[in-house]
Amino acid sequence: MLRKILSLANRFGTIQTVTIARELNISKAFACQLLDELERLGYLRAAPISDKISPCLNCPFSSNCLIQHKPYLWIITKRGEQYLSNKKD
Amino acid sequence: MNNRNQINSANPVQKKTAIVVGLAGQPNVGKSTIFNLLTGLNQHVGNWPGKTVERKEGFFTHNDTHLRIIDLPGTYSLSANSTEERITRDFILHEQPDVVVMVADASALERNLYLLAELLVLPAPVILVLNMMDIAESEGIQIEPQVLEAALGLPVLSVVASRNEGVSGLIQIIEQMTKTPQEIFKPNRPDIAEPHRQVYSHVQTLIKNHVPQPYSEDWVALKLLEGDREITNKVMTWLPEESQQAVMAILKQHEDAVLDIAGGRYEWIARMVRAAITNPKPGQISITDKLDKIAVHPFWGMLLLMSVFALVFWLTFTLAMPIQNWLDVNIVGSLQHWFKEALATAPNWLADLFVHGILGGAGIVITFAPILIVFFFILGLLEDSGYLARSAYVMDRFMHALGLHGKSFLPLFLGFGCNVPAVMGTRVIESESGRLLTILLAPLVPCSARLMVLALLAPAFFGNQALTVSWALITLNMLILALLGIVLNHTIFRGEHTAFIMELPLYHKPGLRAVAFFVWQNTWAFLRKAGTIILVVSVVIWALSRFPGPGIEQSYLASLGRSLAPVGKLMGMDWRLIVALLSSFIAKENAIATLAILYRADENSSGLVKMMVSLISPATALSFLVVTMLFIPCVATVAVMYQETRSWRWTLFSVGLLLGIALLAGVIVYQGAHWLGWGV
Repeated sequence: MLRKILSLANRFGTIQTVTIARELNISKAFACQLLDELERLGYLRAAPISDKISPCLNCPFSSNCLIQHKPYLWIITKRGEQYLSNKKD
Repeated sequence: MNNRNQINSANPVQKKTAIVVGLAGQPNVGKSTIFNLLTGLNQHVGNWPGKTVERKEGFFTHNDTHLRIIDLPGTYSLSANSTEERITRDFILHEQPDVVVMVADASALERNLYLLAELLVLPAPVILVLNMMDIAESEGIQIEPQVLEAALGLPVLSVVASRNEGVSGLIQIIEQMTKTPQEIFKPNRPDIAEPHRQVYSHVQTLIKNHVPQPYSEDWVALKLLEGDREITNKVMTWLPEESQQAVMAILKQHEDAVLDIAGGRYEWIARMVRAAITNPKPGQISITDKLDKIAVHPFWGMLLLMSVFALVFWLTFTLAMPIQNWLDVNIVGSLQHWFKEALATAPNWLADLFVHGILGGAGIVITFAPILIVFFFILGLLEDSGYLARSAYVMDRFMHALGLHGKSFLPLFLGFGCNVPAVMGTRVIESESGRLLTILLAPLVPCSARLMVLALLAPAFFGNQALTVSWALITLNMLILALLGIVLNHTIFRGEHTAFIMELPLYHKPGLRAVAFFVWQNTWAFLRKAGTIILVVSVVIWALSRFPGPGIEQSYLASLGRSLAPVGKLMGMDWRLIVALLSSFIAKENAIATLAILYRADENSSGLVKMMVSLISPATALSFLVVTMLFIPCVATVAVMYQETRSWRWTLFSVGLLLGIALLAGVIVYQGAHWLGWGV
């Protein structure tokens, strides 16, 4: 299940939590729980984009940024990338 | 407990005669409420030995049954990552309670069952208490405890501890569990997912007969593969050197085994939930998901996005362009006329500076404010509704179909506003090469300033065809972004993985106040830019185009522009258009100010649009727009590129690459049009 999430992310490039839930036939809340687990295990990193934290911190254009409603992002960490590379090999 | 008086909260009983009950569960699941209901005042509060974590122990007697209940710290798992987790698992391992009662929040059962999956591999029978059943029901979650009991193979009890409902039933189950555990505790434990089952067996074999009590070989093998440092260190002291090396070699080779162990637990949870939970109540998320079925659909989503783009440009052209033309001719034109008369006795250069430099350059740019207001109003509506984030997702899906996996999402998402945040946004990417690739792609996303230039010039040059041309130019940018991404991905950044998982914002009903504020902020930022950077550049352009004279064709600027004439000629552009492109490096809007100064220098005011149409052929105009859309980003973006890469080499490579792409595209478009005999 956890492997499948990493594979799905790798296959789609960008994927929504709702798509993961649909692909795994689980609820969205459960999909988010799995993402938390992958984050705990070091395969994903939560990377929320907001004015308070990186990368928008200190952006000179943040006050009139076109995007105010930002998605919550998780990105694959080096460990996750390494896992995917090994899997590919 | 139906009647609190039925429970005889007796004096503390001797440990050896009492049934030891460990009360486990995640934080905030009502564990302490159940503990208090059972033990009343017969509680002892202290600390766990050597820890600052509170230890609560209570006693309870019902008929002849004596219970010693230990309220274990709230934990999400038993991974030994926190003191609480270590205390809970050490208590169960070392004190081996007669029963573990796991309290779970019924309204978030999936989240709670992970702890149960870990408890089931420890040496104590478990009872599952589903608390907060009332909340679960109010949220439309229907749990069938009997089904869950059968699926789990252990007793399941539904309670509402806050109302003292159902708790008394727990005593009977605990009694039954201690008397005939084999009858009611036949747990269905989670399996390790397939890829590592054999590895698990291998580790079990290697540690066989070396694991001391109270640990079990199965559990220790599991923890080794999970990468549990505490257990790994212990095992290394238990094993002979030869086995140590063999175990370490396996663990190193199978670092990702944890995915299959935890994955196996989650598959087990999913099975249990599918069996016992029905009818989740549709809520706000479902409405969002319903809308997203169209909005982020690979085909319908793309069609919707293209329609939205078309609508944005159509509304901008239809509503704002007539106002801009009116302002240009009647306000700027009148002011120019007025200044000309007012400064009739002043030196010629001063009148020229005001009329053609300031009003003809920065003044013209200010007349675009209506275009911006309409443009940002529509974008504001789309943004506040939550659609804009989806537009980036849909385009990224399109890029994915072309073979660009995930790398375009950040630039697409942040770059439509401005390329600066798009470059800064790459900070979230861990891999250096992944960041570089995204930074190189970011400037190809047309920012709002480029879109504004397009919104003004496309109808000026192409009239009724402006919508089609604008659409085609944005699509061209996206296609070149995809192609460049694919080429770089297969050459310089070969094998680079970038993937994002995202939770898109929910849809909102756009608030007019928020949209108005958004329009005001952006328009004000634009006006400030017009009054500063654009004004200064206008004056500089005017000065360079006037001196040394006598006419514009003998100016410094003409000399500079003519030195680039061979390149310009291939794209059908004269030196004025080349200079306009160069000035856009300071700020994209400068291209318009420069065109206004250079094309109206010797003419009477009759509107910039009319003037340019009469002087520039459609093929040249198309070539100019193509180059503008693909040209090197503004100086602010280039500065941020350097700041983020800390490398002049990469910054200059990016600038050179974009310049090359832009010029090549311009040449192809112009020569193609020439070859087809269109608009030359």
